[in-house]
Amino acid sequence: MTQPRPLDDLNAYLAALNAALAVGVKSRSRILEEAGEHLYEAARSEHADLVAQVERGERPAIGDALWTEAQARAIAAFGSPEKVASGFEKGLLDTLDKRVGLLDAGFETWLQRRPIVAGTVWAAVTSLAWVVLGAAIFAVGRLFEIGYAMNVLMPFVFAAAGYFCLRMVFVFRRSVVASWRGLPLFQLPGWRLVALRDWVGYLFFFGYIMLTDPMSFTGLMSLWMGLAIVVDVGVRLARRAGRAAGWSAYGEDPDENWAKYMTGLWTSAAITLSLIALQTSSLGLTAALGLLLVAVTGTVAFSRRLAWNSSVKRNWGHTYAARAAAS
Amino acid sequence: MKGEALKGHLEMLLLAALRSGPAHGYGIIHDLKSRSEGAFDLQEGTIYPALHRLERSGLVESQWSVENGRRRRVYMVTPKGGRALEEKTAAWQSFSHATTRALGTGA
Repeated sequence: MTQPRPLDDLNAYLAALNAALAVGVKSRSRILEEAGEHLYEAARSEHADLVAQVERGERPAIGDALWTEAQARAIAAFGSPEKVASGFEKGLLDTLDKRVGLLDAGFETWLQRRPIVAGTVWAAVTSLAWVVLGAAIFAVGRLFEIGYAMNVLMPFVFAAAGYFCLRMVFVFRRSVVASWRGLPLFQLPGWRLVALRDWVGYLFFFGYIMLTDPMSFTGLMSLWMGLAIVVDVGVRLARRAGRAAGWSAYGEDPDENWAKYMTGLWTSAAITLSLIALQTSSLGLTAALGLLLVAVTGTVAFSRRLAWNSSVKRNWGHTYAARAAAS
Repeated sequence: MKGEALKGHLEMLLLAALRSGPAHGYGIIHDLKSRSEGAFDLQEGTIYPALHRLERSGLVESQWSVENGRRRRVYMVTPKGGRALEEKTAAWQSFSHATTRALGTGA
């Protein structure tokens, strides 16, 4: 029977803990990160003890076996994933989040089997999010005859089309690199293409609105997104210069950035609509706002899921590979 | 002493471990084992749900810190947590003295 590679042990434990957890994505991310750090620290300590035993001649040194055993000991001392997971409090949203996670895993499997088809579907779904957002703002604008809100639908449709096309570039490029959702990970020309996507989208969509109606909701939102892109580029440059260790606001994974943009977009929309509701105090608007907020919550949860997924892949995949290689 | 025996006291022990200063989960476990001279044999992963509960109750607070390029969640006792620890410690000492007397094993 083949022994698991040493690197896989902590990762396998974290995967099992992730599967056993029934908590929201924010808590989940934190729990996994804390558990990962703890286990890694414990495994290093165990490894140092084992090396000392070898040096004293109390046991033979057999390649990677020491690191494997060190991880196994750390995991045994930590407790079973099920037991650890059962200690965390959970609610209705946590259960929903777990269901989303299962769907997410199912899609991941499909993507591995049919990368082009699944990648295209994913590109379409993520692009449609722009249309849904535009339609929601349009609907509220039409209901209350708010001029600028009624004009946002077409720019959102164009943005969705542009986003879809750029995303499909990634889908077709996927054959040369490891991918998730049809997007290249870690090996970027990626980052230049992502920057291009951001800037092209910004110039065509938000640039137009900034020039025509800078004080509208979308105008202000475009200012926000512009600032986000400036921060994004700044962090990338700082990283390249080795001055941004520990920064996690914007990663190399385009999906993580997209998720952050979408979350910000929804938050801006929710705040704006809340202000409108406060000004008009209408029952219909309140109901519409309620429905919209349900959609907002779902989308935010979903995009956060993406952000978390990217983060886990980056942290647990890369970090442990690098650490294992270094140890 | 197995983890089951520590149920109900774990949160007090965690607060006590944090009294001397901020610490991360792995450090807390080692502090507890060291203070108890290895008597506390609890599974290490079980302290995290307890730490999260304490944080939700406002007895501890936490933040990420970066040490040597690694992110760690560091916990510290809040003033409310300090008061809670004093109360729990007093209650425990009272219970312990009473039990010792009842068992007839006191000095």
